[in-house]
Amino acid sequence: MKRIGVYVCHCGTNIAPHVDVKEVADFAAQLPGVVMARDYDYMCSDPGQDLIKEDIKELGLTRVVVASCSPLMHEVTFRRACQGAGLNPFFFQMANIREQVSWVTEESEKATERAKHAVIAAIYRVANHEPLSVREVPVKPTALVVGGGIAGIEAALRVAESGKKVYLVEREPSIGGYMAQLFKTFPTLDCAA
Amino acid sequence: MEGQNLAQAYRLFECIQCGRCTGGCPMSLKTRFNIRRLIYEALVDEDMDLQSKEVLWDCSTCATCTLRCPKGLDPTDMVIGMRSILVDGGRIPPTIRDALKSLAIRGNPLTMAREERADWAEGLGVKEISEGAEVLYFVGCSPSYDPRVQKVAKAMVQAFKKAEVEFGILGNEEVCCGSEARRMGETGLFEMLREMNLETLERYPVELVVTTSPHCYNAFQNEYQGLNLKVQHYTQFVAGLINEGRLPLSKEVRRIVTYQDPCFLGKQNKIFEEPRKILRSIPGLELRELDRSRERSLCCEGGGGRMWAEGTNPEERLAHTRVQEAMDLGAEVLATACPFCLLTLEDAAKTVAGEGGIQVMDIMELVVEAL
Amino acid sequence: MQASLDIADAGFLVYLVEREPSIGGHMAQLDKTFPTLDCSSCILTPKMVDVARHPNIQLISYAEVVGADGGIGHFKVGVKQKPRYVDVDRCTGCGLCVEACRLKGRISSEFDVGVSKRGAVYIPFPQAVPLKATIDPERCVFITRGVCGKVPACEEACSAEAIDFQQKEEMIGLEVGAIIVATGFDLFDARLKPEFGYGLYPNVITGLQFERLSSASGPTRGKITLNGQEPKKVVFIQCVGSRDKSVGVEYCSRVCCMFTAKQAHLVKEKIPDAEVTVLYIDVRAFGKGFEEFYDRVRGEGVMYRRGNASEICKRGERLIVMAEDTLLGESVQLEADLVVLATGITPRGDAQDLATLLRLSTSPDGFFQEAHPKLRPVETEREGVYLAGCCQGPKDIPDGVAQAKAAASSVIIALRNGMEVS
Repeated sequence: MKRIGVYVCHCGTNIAPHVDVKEVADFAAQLPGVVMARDYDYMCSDPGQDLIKEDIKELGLTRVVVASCSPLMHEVTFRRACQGAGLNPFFFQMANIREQVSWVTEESEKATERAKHAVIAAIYRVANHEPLSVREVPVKPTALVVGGGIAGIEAALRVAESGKKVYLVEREPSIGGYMAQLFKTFPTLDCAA
Repeated sequence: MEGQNLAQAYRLFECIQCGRCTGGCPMSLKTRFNIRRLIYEALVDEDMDLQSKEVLWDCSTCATCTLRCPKGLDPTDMVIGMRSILVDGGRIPPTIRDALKSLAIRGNPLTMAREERADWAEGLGVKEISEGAEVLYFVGCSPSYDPRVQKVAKAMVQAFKKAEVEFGILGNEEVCCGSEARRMGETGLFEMLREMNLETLERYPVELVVTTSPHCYNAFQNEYQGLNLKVQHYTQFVAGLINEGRLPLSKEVRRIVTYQDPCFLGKQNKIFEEPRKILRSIPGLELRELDRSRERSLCCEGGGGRMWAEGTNPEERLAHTRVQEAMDLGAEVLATACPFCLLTLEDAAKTVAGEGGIQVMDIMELVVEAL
Repeated sequence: MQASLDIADAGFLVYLVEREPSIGGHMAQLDKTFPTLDCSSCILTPKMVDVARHPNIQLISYAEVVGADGGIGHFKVGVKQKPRYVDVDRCTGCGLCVEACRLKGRISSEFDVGVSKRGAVYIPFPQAVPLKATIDPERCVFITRGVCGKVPACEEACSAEAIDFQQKEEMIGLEVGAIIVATGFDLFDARLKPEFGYGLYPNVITGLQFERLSSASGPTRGKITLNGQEPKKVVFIQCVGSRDKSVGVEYCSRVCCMFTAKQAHLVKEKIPDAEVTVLYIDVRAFGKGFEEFYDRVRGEGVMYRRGNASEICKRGERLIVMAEDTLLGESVQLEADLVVLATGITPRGDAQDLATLLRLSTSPDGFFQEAHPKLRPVETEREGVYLAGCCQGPKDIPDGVAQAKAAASSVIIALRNGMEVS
């Protein structure tokens, strides 16, 4: 049996006024495998992350769910917190109850229901997570720049100056792009060419 | 044709039509005078018809527009330029014409005789500057002739004597500084008066010129190219006397006073502190500030030739508003430091407050009460 | 921060010197960011934490650069570490000292731009990095007068024994190959436009103060209130200290149009029945998604009136904003319970000092001068010194980040090539 910890974030006034975070946490506490469910002001803050770490150590959590913002925002943060407490960072799952719930749901009851659904899904999913490990793969130290306008030229030069090979691909017969067509540039009136 | 010339002369092409000039213009709320629109018309309408623009005479040249302009343009000067065109064309209000004529012939806009200019000083023992003195007191037209403002000039003499200031006046040699002539659009007349004053001033080696009126002060300070004399408005000079302990203010003046910043002193020359310093030095006097004060002070409508032109809306007067604001503040005295403010506000006080209501006084009159 | 992270990720050691007690800059003070309405601290604080945790970044906070000799590849930089009077190794950031300080709630908070008060010992904001207390030497009565009760209250409260009044200023010498200057900006001082009565009327505030009022982590917990009252008529004034020769700021600050649109949206969101008016000259919504956002905000009922405000006065308890509606061609007097001034971006007050110190030049607007306005936008005339962010000129967050990344890549190239040579 997995030992799951669930953490519901208030995100200041982003989640809490719309979603009854306490109710979501209490609900999660009843679900199979959940040994701890809490709500907290800012899960991403240091004290928030410390909560997770302490619970992993003291309650022997084997899986962690944080219900907060988009994983694009803080997935790395929480994975790192798990790792910091000795848990495989991929035994973590995020439930997005901000962008996908509180920000887009006007009625509080409905928002709370939706948040519960997101949390259930995350809990069931995380229980099935397999341990993953990060592995290193060889990198070809060569870059491809597509487009030979001023941006592409500059980027290609930068990479080349740092000692790496660059392929610069341009569709037209010559590089230079629009800038080559300009006469003078504002506001200094430098000649573009 | 006019429009294009004005656009060149006053750099109107640089205007971004933001409206800060008009938004702050005290006339824009009571008349159809809209300075931003005038700029735009001058830009786009080559055949702009100034003759029909009676509102041009509404402007009191308080210069709020110039101060607020984010592009460093001088709309006030453009109005003066437009007035010049009207003056050259002979289409001007008759009262303005009379004032200008009087300025040309008598050296004052009040149709008073040149040789009566120093009559107010009779019996006060005031030296003529030709007898030699360190300080030249440049009296100005209204303080010389207007019975109400003469009291200010007399108060000045009393205070100067008390402080043992070595001073003299130009007497009948004094002519108008020309500030109002210029603002009524008579640039040529202004230049003539300036030349006369410059010539006179050159003859007397004084260290300092002190003026009663902020308008004279402004002209000398900013529009008299070639004047190599130190000029002060009296509030600066008197504040200095007080500071140096030369003018002991010992008597209590138990009055609640508020202060009207004259546009030509405050907004245009940033002299805000000295008048207040003088008022605060008077024992017993309680100074209360109007909400609209200093850089946000409300014009009395007395400048820019408006003493001789009623404008297109004489029913609503800013001076009335100002007196009312002072009364709402619980002030017993509305003090100012400008002859025009004194006259317009006192007129308004008579209408708004009636006899025995709020008093309008020049700061100098309060100073001599405390002597 | 972005520049530090990129360089550190490339495997080089980075010293990040910050003058304030915490990193984060102005962005930490913002509520939401335009046009996506991302919560500012939500996107910023992870980066702050990354900086703190990165093995290749050494954060030197509450310190200032006082000298830089040498050249590219071998700069010798002097850094003055100001005393916090708190032992950062012991301090846990628990905040007990902050609560105990006898001056608690008596000193205007820099972070909240005066909207709230702090004590003499303080942590500027809850997400501060490093999360350590700092004692304000100018205000702490124990430091200024030598007595604070029998024992200083903070010292008594601190269970970690971290308070250390013996701390002295320290000089740190650093040897570095390249320098990135990312010293940021100041906001235009609205008092320089006295016609708006800023500093006189408590309900005339700046855009940054609005951010603190509106921020969920701010002193009102995100409620837009003044003295407990919700404003019902809100007027925003654009271009306060931008595009204005009368105060010596000729340039456009670039961000005010959009942050005003965002703030107008926030008022509408939080107080739906509020009348919101924006007084503007032109709306410059030039970025990705910006015009769309401007459309959206107008669609929400925010009234844009063309004509910039000229003056603010008071009538009774209400503010009166005087302006011309230039499309009507009429002067208007708008009543308001709250006026927000979109104050522009200016160079740091001591930018010239730093320019002298680092031997950089400044452009006529007072910002640091880049080597070429088009093709060398992050380099300076001094080889090995690069610019990032608003110290080079007004810019929004994405532009600041982009410039930081460019500066970082310049540094990485310089350091990598240097290594190959040696």
